[in-house]
Amino acid sequence: MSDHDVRQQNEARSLLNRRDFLRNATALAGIGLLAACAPAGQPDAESGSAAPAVSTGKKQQVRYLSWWFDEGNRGETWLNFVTEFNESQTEIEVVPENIPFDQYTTKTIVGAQSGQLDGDIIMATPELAPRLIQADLLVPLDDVLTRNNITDLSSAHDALRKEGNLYGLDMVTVAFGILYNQQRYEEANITPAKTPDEWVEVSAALTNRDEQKYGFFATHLVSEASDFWFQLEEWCMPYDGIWAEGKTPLLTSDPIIKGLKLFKQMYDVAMPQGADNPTGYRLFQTGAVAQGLYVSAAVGAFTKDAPELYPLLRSAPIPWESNKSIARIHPMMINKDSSVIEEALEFVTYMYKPDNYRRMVEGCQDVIFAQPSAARQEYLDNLEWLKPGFSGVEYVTPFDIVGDFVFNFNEFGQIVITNFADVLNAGKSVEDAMEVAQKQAEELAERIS
Amino acid sequence: MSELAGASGRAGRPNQSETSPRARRRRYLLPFALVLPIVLYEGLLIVYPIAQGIYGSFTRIELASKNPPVWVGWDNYERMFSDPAFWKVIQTTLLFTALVIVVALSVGLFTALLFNRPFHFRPVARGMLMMPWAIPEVPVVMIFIWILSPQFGVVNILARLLPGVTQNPQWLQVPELAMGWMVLISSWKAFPFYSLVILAALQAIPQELYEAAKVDGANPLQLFWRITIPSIGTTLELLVVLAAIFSFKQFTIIFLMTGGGPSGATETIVIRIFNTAFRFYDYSYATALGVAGFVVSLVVAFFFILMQARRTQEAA
Repeated sequence: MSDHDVRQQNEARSLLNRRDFLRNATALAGIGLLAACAPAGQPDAESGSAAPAVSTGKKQQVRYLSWWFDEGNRGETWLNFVTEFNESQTEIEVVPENIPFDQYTTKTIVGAQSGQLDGDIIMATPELAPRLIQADLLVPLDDVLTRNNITDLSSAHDALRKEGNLYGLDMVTVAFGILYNQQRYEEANITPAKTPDEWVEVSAALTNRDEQKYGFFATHLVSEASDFWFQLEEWCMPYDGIWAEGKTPLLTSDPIIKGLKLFKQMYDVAMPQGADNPTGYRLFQTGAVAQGLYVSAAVGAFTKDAPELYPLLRSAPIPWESNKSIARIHPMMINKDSSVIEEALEFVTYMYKPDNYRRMVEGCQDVIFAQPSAARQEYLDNLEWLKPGFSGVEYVTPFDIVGDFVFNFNEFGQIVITNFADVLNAGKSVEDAMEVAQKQAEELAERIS
Repeated sequence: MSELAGASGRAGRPNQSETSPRARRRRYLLPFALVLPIVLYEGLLIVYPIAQGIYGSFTRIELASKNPPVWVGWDNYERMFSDPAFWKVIQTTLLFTALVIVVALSVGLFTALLFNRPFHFRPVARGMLMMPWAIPEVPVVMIFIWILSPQFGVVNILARLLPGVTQNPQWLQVPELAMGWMVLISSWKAFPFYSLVILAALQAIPQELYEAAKVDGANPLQLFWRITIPSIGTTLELLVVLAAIFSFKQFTIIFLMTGGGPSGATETIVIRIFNTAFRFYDYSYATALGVAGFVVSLVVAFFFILMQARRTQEAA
């Protein structure tokens, strides 16, 4: 073979390789492009809702999204129920997935906007629920009540209905109350306050900043936006106010201004200023903070997180005339686009059997029963911290206090907290800050109307 | 020799197959085919989202709503330019960026000069110098949150040594202090990278220049200003641009430590964009803010290209 022949062969091989390479690369890129541009394999909602899962010998997985699987005894209780359910099933497996609370709403709303909710079973906050119902993203759950013969469902569920259908079932209602460390009260020889002014006095008396002792803690950092608004929403209660009525924000109304001034007073005289939420929680566990506005659902967590503190916990009576406080309903819902709707319904039905529901509420140490007939008086009597702060209180819901902003609760709350932070840190008056907030909230109302 | 001659002869005289129309076409198309994958990548994952973002800034989008996006023209931009909060955010962004550039590069230059001198355990010290840069941002934030805690923070012990300080300062609750700490922490995190790059530039300066200058009687300050700085000038210019870009897009440290507060004192444009999109769910306005941020980044990049072009011209 001559040099020329060898060279020609090499050239041919080289050209062939390059051509092959280019052809293959183009083909791969084309396939990739087609795959990227092709519509996502969205499950057919109709067939999904109609057809039960086909038995293939492998269990159908149901993804259950919530923020509470690592929350002390609540997480433990739910994980136990999931295991119990899975063991009783041959074809269904519920898979719990935890998402931190601070990210939960954002993740869900953004998921909804992208056209499909994530997960099959979804827990919702009182503010997220109406948003999802309004956007037609859920499956009606009336069948669960029928299957379990439930006839005494709490009226709080009225807000979860649309065109006669029920779209959510409450799994925990949390109520705000003042929880205090009995030992700290006794050391300072203090009795619970009966008015907002007395409450400030009591909190100040429990505070000694040099010894790192504080009378009260509430989240107050804008870097913890969800927690800050979650707690601040209660501060319309002391003077019997509401944050908004319909589409009209009431941020400059007298009860709101007075309520926020009360928060500022407490911040000045009794709070560990600048402490973030985990620090505040830790300070309460160690007894350095004497009291806080806690939701009933958080109390059970202390049995695990702070077993020495738990026996010392007591609740104070609501120190304002109206005796009103906020109760927040957290419904379980099913994604309309799920491919395992029947399986998901099976789990919700299981959890809402009156006996299971009661065991779940007691396991989480909750105190408000969505099925009143499921409550056991003996259980409630054993909770020393229950009375008087979490019993006999007149409860209102977020739907009652933020009007139509319940559909845009987070945006509304963000306006309030960012402006109120100017009061806490920049020396602005409550009136001036809320005047700005009022205008921003009015703009929000205009934008969302 | 004959082989070489033959080879050069072959190279200089293309054979028939290389001059055929098919071969010419192939040669013409080859560069395009080679850049195709990167063009596809850039197009799908960078240009398309940017274009979508720009389009989104001309619409009104309500998250989790059944309503489709509505075309609103320049409304979002009109709102942005008439919003005093936007101008405050731009001011805060520029202030933060400028301060980080000054602090991080000054410390980077100082440590590079220090590490350019021989001393015992220099390799170990150099390794330790890189630690702040190597640690991920989230643990850094957690460490500094504890250091600055008004209740437990160790920095309070030092603060209390100062005259007139009787209470633990609210490090992240006072606007001026919060901004100061954001600049310090961001600079602390970034300076090792700048230091390393400057050190490499310093080591490329010929020692003869210093020796000649010393013979001519130059003092250390004159050596620094007349030899060192001009020799690393190009590197410093590049680092200024890089530092501007890095600090402009700083998100994790600010967001996790202050969330843009207190009172918006540390709210840079990226924090504002995030808050607008994912706290206020005002998605279309957030895209308009994003476009504004994009334009500012383009200006910085353009400035860098201009600077490079000028240098090339000078060199020519």
